[in-house]
Amino acid sequence: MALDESQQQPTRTQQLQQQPQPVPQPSYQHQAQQQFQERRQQPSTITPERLRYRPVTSADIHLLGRQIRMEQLLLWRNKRAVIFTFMLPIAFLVFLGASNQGAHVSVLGKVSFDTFFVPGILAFSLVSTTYANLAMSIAVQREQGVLKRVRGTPLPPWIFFAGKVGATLINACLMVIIVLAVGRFGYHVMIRTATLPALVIDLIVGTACWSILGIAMSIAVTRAEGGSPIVTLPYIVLSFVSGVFYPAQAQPVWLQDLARAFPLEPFARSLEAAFNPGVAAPGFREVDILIMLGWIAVGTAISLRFFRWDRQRR
Amino acid sequence: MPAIEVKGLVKSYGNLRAVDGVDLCVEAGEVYCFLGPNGAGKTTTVEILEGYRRRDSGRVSVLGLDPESSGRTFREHIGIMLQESGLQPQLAVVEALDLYRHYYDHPRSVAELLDLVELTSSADVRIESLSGGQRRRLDLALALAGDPDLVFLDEPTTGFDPAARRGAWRTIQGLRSLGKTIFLTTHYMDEAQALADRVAVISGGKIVAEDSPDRIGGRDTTTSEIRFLLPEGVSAGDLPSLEQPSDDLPSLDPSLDRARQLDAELSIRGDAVVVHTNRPDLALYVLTSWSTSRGLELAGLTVSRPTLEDVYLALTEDDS
Repeated sequence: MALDESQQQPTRTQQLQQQPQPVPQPSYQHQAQQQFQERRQQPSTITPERLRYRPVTSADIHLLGRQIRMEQLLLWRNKRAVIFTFMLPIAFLVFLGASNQGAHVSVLGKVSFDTFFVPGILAFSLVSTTYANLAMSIAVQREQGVLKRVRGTPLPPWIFFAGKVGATLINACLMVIIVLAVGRFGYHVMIRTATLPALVIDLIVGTACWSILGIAMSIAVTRAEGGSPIVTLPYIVLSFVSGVFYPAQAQPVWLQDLARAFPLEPFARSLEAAFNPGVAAPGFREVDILIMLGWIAVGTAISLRFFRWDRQRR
Repeated sequence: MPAIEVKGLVKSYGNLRAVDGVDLCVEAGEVYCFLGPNGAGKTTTVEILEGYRRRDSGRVSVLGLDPESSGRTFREHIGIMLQESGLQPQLAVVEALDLYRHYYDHPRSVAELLDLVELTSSADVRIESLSGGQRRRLDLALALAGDPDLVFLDEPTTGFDPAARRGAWRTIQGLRSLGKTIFLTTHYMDEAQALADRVAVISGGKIVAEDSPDRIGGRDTTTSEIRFLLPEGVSAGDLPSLEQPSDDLPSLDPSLDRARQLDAELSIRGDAVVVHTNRPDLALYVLTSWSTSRGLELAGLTVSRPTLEDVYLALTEDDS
């Protein structure tokens, strides 16, 4: 998705190197004039930027690294975001586990409640680190005018987004490690090697899906101050009907079906399948993955069509 | 080749023609000041030039490129200082400069940028703790991070104290002396007067005037006002007649109606004498010859032409 101008035009340094030798005082004007002339020789009908393929350079990768570092820095300096993205899921993990000690979930073939809810919390916490975090960070930065400023610089948009998503994925990995460690050592929820490939694929697809949905949802946020209910409400509501904290099978069928249409239930179910000792290896749930892929398509389409760099005017 | 060339620019929002056939030309190396009331099409025009908005029709060339389609190459050579600051508040000044300068192929150094806007002593301060004026100076530094050929400055000194404003003006004049082109919008007429080589006024989506700040709207030729205090012991009737200038008044064409050439109108307001005239030089000659021959002093004497603000307000009347 690397898009930009062709690189045929000589860079400023190249031009300077071509010049005879130390040009004294008026060098700048002379140089600017030369640049103007060179630009003039370019064809006047320029292919739109987005239709142009520009190979990813090592400089782009370097820039991406800087973006990821900066986004990480911003997240850790934003106390509210840290509490919301990390503390909330961990608190759920601890308290939900403590209040259901020794319980079993009969509908899943009598697995322990721990084996059921640790994957559920894992799904929930990944949604919170990716979706909620991305949606709010983009919405806030649109409100602050950061997006507009960035759009006025040569930074390619794909690097900007990749930086945000990259920083988010670091947090997601951190979250996976925390939840699995707490699950393993606190609740004796084992990771099954036989279903490990399924687990990894589920994590990748689910995280990608909710990241894209975070970007898409940022479009709907018009006033970002103080944490927007537009962002939090959908996934909090979904997490109560999608069998994240308690088995969804206790709910009416229509509600189960409704929840299945959204990507949290498939995410949680597919993760749970990977942990459930009653599910045979390799433990893939193809339909769940397809539903999430479908939402990736929906999120991408919405983002490409409606994304705004500046605040809504008029 | 001009830095900016615009012909017949049109942009509509629904039924509203926000920009309605704008032509303008900014020469390389000049400070061009774009004035206009809110809602006159100013921001829309600037944002089209900056590459933020698409136009409906018209020809736009900025640094020889079409801002709509030239993407990264175009942005490499321009600097934009937006009205809304647009900064991540959790970053420190030096972190923000270091971040944004890396977006450009040939950036200025952080130290140079800090120095340019006199923020060196605040380098490690988080942006959220900066004052409004300091934030604005950081904005300016960020606009200059890529060492651009053309700089768009949108109300650059709003919120500055007078000393900081002079500082910003010096920076802008410094950029001009480096051969940079500066496209400036402002609501401060003294700023336009002090900085601009040329001023354009947009009103109702059209350019209604474009000239140097001293000539725009006929400032150089319209009526001037002379004002002084009526000397003690002198009554209005003792003043020399400007309506009927005497024959020895030099430099008036004797073959034409002398009163009309001077076109002076004298009135008394309280204890002040106010004269409106097209030829303040000649009116003053008459008045001062009269006063010096009588040994009187014209206390509080001023001669004023309409200010840029007066002209601007007259030009944009329809918009308000």
